Amino acid sequence: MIPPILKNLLRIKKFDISVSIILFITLVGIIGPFVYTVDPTALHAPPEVPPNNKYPLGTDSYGRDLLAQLLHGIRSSLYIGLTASLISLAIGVTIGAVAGFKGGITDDSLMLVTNVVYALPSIMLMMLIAAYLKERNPLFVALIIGLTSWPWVARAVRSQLMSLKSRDFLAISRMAALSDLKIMFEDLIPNMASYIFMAFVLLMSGAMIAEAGLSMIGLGVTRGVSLGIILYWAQLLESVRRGLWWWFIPPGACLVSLATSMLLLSTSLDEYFSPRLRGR
Amino acid sequence: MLLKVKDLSKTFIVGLLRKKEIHAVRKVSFNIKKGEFISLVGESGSGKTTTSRMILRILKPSSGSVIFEGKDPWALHKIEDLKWYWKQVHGIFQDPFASFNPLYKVDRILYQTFNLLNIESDAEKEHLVKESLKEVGLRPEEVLGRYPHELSGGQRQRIMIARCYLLKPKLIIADEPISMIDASTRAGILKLFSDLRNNYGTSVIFITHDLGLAYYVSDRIMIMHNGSIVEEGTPDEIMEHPKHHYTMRLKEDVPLLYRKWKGF
Repeated sequence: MIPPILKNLLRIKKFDISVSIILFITLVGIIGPFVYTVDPTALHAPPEVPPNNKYPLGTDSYGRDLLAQLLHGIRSSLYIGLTASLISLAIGVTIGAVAGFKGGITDDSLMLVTNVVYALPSIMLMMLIAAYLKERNPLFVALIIGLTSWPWVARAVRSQLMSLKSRDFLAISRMAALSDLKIMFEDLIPNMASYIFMAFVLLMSGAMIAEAGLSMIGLGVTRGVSLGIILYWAQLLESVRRGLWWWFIPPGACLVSLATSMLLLSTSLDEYFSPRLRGR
Repeated sequence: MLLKVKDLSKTFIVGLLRKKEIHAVRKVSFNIKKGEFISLVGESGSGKTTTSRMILRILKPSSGSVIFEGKDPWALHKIEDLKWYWKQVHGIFQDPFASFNPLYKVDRILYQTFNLLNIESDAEKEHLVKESLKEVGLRPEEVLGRYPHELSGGQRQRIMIARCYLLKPKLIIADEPISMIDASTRAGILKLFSDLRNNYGTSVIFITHDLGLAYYVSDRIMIMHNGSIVEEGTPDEIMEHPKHHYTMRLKEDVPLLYRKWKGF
């Protein structure tokens, strides 16, 4: 089942490009810190050195090695993105699936809650929760983002399930006296898998950008580095005005290319799984 | 009497606070004898499909009863009883594409039926599947192992009928089975239903919006309008002396061969 799908997917250029960018940056983030073993928080180098042989990406105003910061930053940004998207995916899929499957009053009340959370400005909520916490490690930040970004997933999964429920092939399987569980695992979930995976990719890019956003307003992680934190310091010490380009360009480029290629990936998956979009 | 439907109704309620009732089917009653071919004719939204799904035990009726061979399918809960019911009463739907789960090969539709039949050996299963495909005019090697999108609408609908040939149910409910198929293959598909009736004594409820078609194939016609059956009779009675104004309108809509249309 998997190999032909993968073969078809690899034929889509957008898919190839986006997956290679994501894989490349992810591998750099995972393997990088083991290869380039410099402490990203150590303050031993001369400050504000442009990229050279000793410091490939230069140093910041405190004399911290920026390559080490970037490698660790990618790692924790990916970690926050992954954790946050898994949290919101779990909440969103559960609520959406129960609402869509049960219908009636369960559906109405769950959707009421979802719409309330949806209507709240999530950045406000994130700021409130983040400001309340004295110490914020990456897991907390991921939790904050995950707990505020699930409503659209719940709504999307619910509507997807409701449209699947009325499809004829479900009635056909039911008439073969298949059990509910079997129908769930053979007919419903495989037909939603692509959709859920797309939601996951979108959530992840959203979560990484949300992390950067939180960090930029000073509510990011309090310990360690993330891409958002590097940008925060770069902005705080006016690196743009002072022309310290090696400080803000690499993390910004990483963040933008990760988020963009994830959006591109979800577009290419969308094209593949809904053939009506194909060839446009 | 094979099937007795009495006062069958379905009301959908929409809205949480301001409730609105939609009466899809209102107090529909009819009987079907063994080997009878009856047509349920009506326009879109007249409740034909809802009625068929209630008989097929897919959609729960709001009130009224369905009695098949003395048993109410909605009172059956044990898996063995349900298997019995769906072995006897089976359905075919309008859209031959939507009837297939696009992720699986078409074989699945046929092999699913062995869940209802007591056949263990794989060789026999394969033999039966191939036989049923041959009976509906398909070459097994051409369709088995294919995905639904690789087959034409006519082939897919024939596979759905092959499923009925495997089960040999006592009652088939065919919900507009030929409306989404090329005109040239329609007659062939219709013939499969009459073959099932002639060879195995299967009763058929044929749902259609085409009164002309119903006239040709059925023993009895029921006209459905706004959720109720407004007229019932033999094809000749309905065509010669329609009583209800809706039947007259339907009759006027039947295109006549060899005559030019006037007054658009």
